[in-house]
Amino acid sequence: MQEKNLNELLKNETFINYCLKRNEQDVSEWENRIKENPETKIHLEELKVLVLAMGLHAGQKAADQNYLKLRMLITKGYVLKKRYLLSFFGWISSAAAVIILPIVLVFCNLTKESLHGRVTAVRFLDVSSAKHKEFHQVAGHSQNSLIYSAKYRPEDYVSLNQLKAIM
Amino acid sequence: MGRLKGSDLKHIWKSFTMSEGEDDFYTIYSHYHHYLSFIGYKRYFSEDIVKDAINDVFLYLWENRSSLRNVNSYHNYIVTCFLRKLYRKNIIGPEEVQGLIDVPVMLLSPSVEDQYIQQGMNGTVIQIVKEHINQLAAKQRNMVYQKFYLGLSYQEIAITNKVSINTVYNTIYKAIDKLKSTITKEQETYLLIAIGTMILFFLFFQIQ
Repeated sequence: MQEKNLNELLKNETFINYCLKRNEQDVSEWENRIKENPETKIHLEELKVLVLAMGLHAGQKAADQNYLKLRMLITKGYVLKKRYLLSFFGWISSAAAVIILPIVLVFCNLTKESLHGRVTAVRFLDVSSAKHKEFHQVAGHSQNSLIYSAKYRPEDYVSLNQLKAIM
Repeated sequence: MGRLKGSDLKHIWKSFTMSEGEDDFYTIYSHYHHYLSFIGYKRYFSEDIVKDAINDVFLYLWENRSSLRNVNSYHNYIVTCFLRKLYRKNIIGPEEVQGLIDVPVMLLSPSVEDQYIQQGMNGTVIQIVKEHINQLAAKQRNMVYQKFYLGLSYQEIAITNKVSINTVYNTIYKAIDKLKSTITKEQETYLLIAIGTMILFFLFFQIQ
C-alpha cells in the first residue's frame, strides 16, 4: 500500500471505527466500499489486523506497567507501615524507660540505705567467708566467727549476689 | 487477557473479598484498567493523572480488602471511587456504598472488544507486533493504546496529551509504519528461507 494512502487511512476516523467496530454506520460503509473495490480488500484487512494487534498489545503493556507501579506502592506502603510501627514501639520503649528508670534508681537507693543501716556482716553461701569493707563491724554472732578469719579478696566482691545478709 | 463477563467478574470479586488473594486482585485490576482509562481520557485528564487515580483506587481496595465484603455493587463502587479520585475528592468508604447512583453503562465501556480483536488477527502478526511494541517510545505506545484500543478521537488524544492533532497523526503514523516495515522485512525473510529450502530440496532430488 502506498504511504500516502496509508497516511490518509490512518487519519480517517471512520476507518479506525470500522476496524474497532465502533459504530455500525462506519462498519457498513467500509464493508460496502470493500465490496465495490475488492482489490483493496487484502491491503485493508492487513492494515486492520495491524491496527487491532497494536491496540491490543499496547493496551496490555499499559495495564501491566501500571500494575507494576501499583505493586511498588503496595510494597512501599508495607515498608512505611513497618517503619511507623518500629518507631512507635521505639517511642513507647523510650517512654517506658523514662518512667521505669527513676523508679528503679529510687528503689535501689532505698535498698542500699536500708542495708547500710541494718546489715552488719555478710556471709557467703559457700563455706568461705569474707569480711566486706563496707560491712566492717563485728557481727556479734558467736556462730559466725569465720567472718573474722577470712581475708577480703576483690573477686569475692564480684560474687556479692550470692551473699546472704545476716540481720 | 480476554474481557470478563459480568457474572465471572462478580465471582472473582467475591473470591477476592473472601480470600484476599493477589491473583483475583490482578484480574479485577486488568479488567478495570481499560474502563477507567477510557473514562479518564474522555474527560481530558492527562495520562499521569489517570494512571495515578487508577492506582490510588486499587491501592485503597487492596489495603481495605477485608472490609469490602459488604460491597455488592462493586462496579459502581470502583467507578465512583475513581471519579472522586480524579476530581480530588476523598474515596468513599465501603459503608457508604448504598447511596451510590448508577453510573451510565455507555460511559464505562470502551468501544473495542478483545474477543473480536483476537478473532480478527492472524498468529504471525500478533507475535511480531508483540515483540516489537516494546520498541516504541512510551508516548508513542500510549497514543497507539488510546487510538487503537480505547478508540478515542484524534482531538481527544491531542487534548489529553497536550499536543497538536498533527503531532498525534504523525506519531501514530510513524509507529504503524515502523511496525509495518518490520513485519514486511520479517515476512520477506521467512519467504526467502522457504524458497531457499525448496531449492535445496529440488537440487537434492535432482542429484539423486
